[in-house]
This record gives sequence, structure tokens and C-alpha cells, in this order.
Amino acid sequence: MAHNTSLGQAAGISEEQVLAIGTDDYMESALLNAREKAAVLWAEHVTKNTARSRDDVFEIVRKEFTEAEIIDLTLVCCYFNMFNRITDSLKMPIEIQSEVDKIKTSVRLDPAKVKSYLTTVVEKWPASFPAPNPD
Amino acid sequence: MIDPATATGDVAMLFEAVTAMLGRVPNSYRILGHSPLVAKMLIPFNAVVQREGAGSVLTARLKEMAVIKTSHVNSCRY
Repeated sequence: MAHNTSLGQAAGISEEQVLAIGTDDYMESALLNAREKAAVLWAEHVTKNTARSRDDVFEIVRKEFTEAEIIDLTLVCCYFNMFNRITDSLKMPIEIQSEVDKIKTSVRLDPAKVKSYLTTVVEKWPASFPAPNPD
Repeated sequence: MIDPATATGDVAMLFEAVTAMLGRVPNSYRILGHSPLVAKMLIPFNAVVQREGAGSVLTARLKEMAVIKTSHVNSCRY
């Protein structure tokens, strides 16, 4: 929550909207438009693993999003379900707020920087890879 | 948790690449850095799927709304 609230603020999500998203009656909120409500609805049901049995939820989502958008939305929800488990299970310490807030500069990702990352990885590709540790 | 200042080898490479992309090395990557050859494949996916501008068809704003709900339902503080 700490990092995503910070990044969310930088992306233009108000504190009131963050609070509305956290409630159970966000579908009635005047602070979220139809597309935003559908995104939050999908996130809730993907996270609770109820999306698979709720065709009514998928209908709402399908009205607001293209197929490509549904994939991107589902991927980001699932990635954060995994990441939440990682940070909780490994008891990841939250940085001080000023450090957390550095995330605010990265709302928009420069594709050249992704290329630079991948180029660094490829250029420094290990000459050999370790064998797995014995069982 | 690995201090980027003392990282060497594959870990140093990973942190160098992360800094080039994100401008910092968050705690989460200092921990994932213990397995640098695996973490290096995860990090660009994280960046592209969460942010906008490098391939995703959704705005970072809308995705963060979904992620805030996800983290809220999971009661995740990080």
C-alpha cells in the first residue's frame, strides 16, 4: 500500500479516491468513473479468486475495456498478488517516506530506459550459470 | 537485504541496471538481489506491467487504482 499509494498520488489519484477504493461500496462512489470502478471491481475479484465464477463481474469489465486492456489489467492485479505475498512473507521493511516517494518520478516509463536495462543485462550476460544446489 | 554500495558480480550488474531504469534500488530488489540471475528477468516485467509508456495499453493511474485495491484486499503494507 505504501508504495502504490505514493505512486498513485504521482499518477493523479487523490487521497479521497484511495479511501473510496478501500471501501466495500466503491461501486456507488461519486469519486470514481465507470472505467475506474470496473478496474477496481476486477482487482477485487481477481484477488479473491472469485472472478472465475462471477460472469456478471466480467460483463461489467468487458463493457469498459478492450481485450488488450483486460489482459494488462489482469496481469498487473496478478503480479501484485504475487508481490504482496513476497513482501509479506519475507517481512520486507518499508523504506522511510522520502525513499518511498522516489517512486513518484517513475509513473511514466521511458522505453529507452527499459532498452538500456535489457542491454546492460545482455552485455553482462554471465559466461556460465551456476548448477542448482543439491536437494 | 543487500547494500548496493557493497554489491559485486551479478548483484552489482542487477543493481546497476535497476538504477538505470528506476533511478534507485528499492528494498524489495535489495532482497530479490540475493538471487540476481532470477530477479533480473522479473524486474523489467514489473516495470512494464505497472507503468505506462513502455508497451502497456493502460495508464499508470488506472492500474494503480487496481493495485491499491489488490494490496488493500491483501492487507499488504509495503
